[in-house]
Amino acid sequence: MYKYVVKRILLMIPVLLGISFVVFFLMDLTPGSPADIIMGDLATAEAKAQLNESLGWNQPFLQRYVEYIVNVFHGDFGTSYVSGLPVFQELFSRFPTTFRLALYSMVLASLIGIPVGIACAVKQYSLIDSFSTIFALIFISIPSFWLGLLMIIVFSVQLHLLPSFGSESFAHFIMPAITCSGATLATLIRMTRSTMLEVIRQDYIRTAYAKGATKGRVIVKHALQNAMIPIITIVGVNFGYMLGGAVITENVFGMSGVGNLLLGSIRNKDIPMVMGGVLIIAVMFSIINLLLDILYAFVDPRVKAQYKKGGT
Amino acid sequence: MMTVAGKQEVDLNAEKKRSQLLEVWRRLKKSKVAIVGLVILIFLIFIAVFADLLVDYNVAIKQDLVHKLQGPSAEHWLGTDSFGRDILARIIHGSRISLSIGFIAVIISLIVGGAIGSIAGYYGGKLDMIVMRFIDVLMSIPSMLMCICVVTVLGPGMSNLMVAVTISYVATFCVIVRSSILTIKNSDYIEAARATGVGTFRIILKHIIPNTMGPIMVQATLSIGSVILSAAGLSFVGLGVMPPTPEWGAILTEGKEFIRTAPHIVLFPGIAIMLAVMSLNFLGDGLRDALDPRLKQ
Repeated sequence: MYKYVVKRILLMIPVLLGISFVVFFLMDLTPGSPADIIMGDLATAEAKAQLNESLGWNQPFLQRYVEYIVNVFHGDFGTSYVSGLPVFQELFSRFPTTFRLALYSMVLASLIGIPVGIACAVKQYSLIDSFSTIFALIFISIPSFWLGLLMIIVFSVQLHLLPSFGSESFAHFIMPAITCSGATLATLIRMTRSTMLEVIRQDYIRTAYAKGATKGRVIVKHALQNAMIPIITIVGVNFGYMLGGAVITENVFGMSGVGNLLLGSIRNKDIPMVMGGVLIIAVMFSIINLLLDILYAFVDPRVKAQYKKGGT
Repeated sequence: MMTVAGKQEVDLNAEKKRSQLLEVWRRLKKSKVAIVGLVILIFLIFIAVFADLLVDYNVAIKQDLVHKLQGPSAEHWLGTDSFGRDILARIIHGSRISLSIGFIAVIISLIVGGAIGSIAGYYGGKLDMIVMRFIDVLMSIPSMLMCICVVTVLGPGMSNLMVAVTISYVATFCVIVRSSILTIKNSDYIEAARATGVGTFRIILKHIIPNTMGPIMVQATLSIGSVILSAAGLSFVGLGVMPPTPEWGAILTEGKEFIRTAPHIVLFPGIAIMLAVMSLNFLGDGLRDALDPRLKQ
């Protein structure tokens, strides 16, 4: 198991280097130079040239990339061209908002999606099953920004119940969390349903019933535990994506999260900020994938046995 | 004699293919949801194809500031936007743009991703490892961020938007095609084809790809919906189709500022996007069941 974890961590390094290279390359292709962004239109060409020189902009692409990576390994993600603050500091000041949004959305999606999915499987072809399946398909088709705007029209503009802009209080997170959880909720309902359907047809479920176990116990103890892997995967992977900032939702509700920051930085060609942001997202995404793999072993004894047998 | 036998074989193959398709269609017909999806999709495609006959393009872009921000009326069924343009006309012409972005981006990413995936999957070894590490990299960047990066490089606009969305979907198709190929490349019939001296290219094209079409078709159908959503999302953050081109996401975005006074501008294009994506999801879901009856227990 330890060997496997170490191997996975080592494998993360080339992928992360690849990501940083792709994004650095893309950012390098965008028109304009750092001095154009930092100094604006009013500065003279000489002043801009001087600043570009001091930032190392005139050096070859590969040299700049290698220097950037070396600095990152020393914990230096650079300074934002726009705000002049260290990238790391600015990203992490935005992180709590993004984390709260991701957490609330996932809790909401799981609390509704998993029980509804189980109910659909247990009562296959019933009214609740057909209704939930169609509901999930419709929900997955709604553009998140549209859902957000509709909620603003109803709950903020007409009913004056919830704030439409900002991220200060819990109330500010209610509509964004619902908006963000939509697609995950729909996927969770469908995935829980299909996995549970597969599991409840197994012999060991029949055995559990034959032993006299109650329906509730069989579903929760015997069936759900065996259906957990795909469910955990969906929750984990979506949580990972959301930690990278739900760009559009944060934009709709004017939240000061990582997604909105990155969107602004890409538009302003704030290369250090974009690079830092994308790298941190990629690292978090990879760590969550790794944690998921480890979690499987705890949820499913068969996976654990595989690690032990393989010695990896 | 040989030719007669050959002809009979071709006839048999054609009939087999036809009966397979008929079988899929028979199963698809049973799913009410899939048929609803198919009907809505055909309706939307019909609107997109005959948009010019339904309403003149000039109506969709002509400004009429006297009648701006009007609610639905007999003259303007879905109201007007902030420039007094008829929203229904814009949605009708927007269907051309939104649907073509969806279909074209998916077809190109399917061809490119499929080609890379089939070569990597068929040959395996070092080539496969290198390609898959590159695909890992692409898949670790959230697709929306990737699209935003690409559009920033190329600049906003319809064709650039399509390139951005295509790039972010290439990896998905590459992975699906590769995994489908890995599961069947060691099958007996591929072995038999190889033993009779059939060339690699022909094996991939004639034997492997047709047998992997099921999951690929399902994924492609579902992806068209996701691409339409992504394109609308990019337009929403100001990186998509530029005004006055009537793309659905762009029409919706223009209404964002008037959400308090004229919510209908936001409402109707959103319904159009939802209907298009929903029809593709309904159809994709039905196709999945029809192509793999084991799933429908």
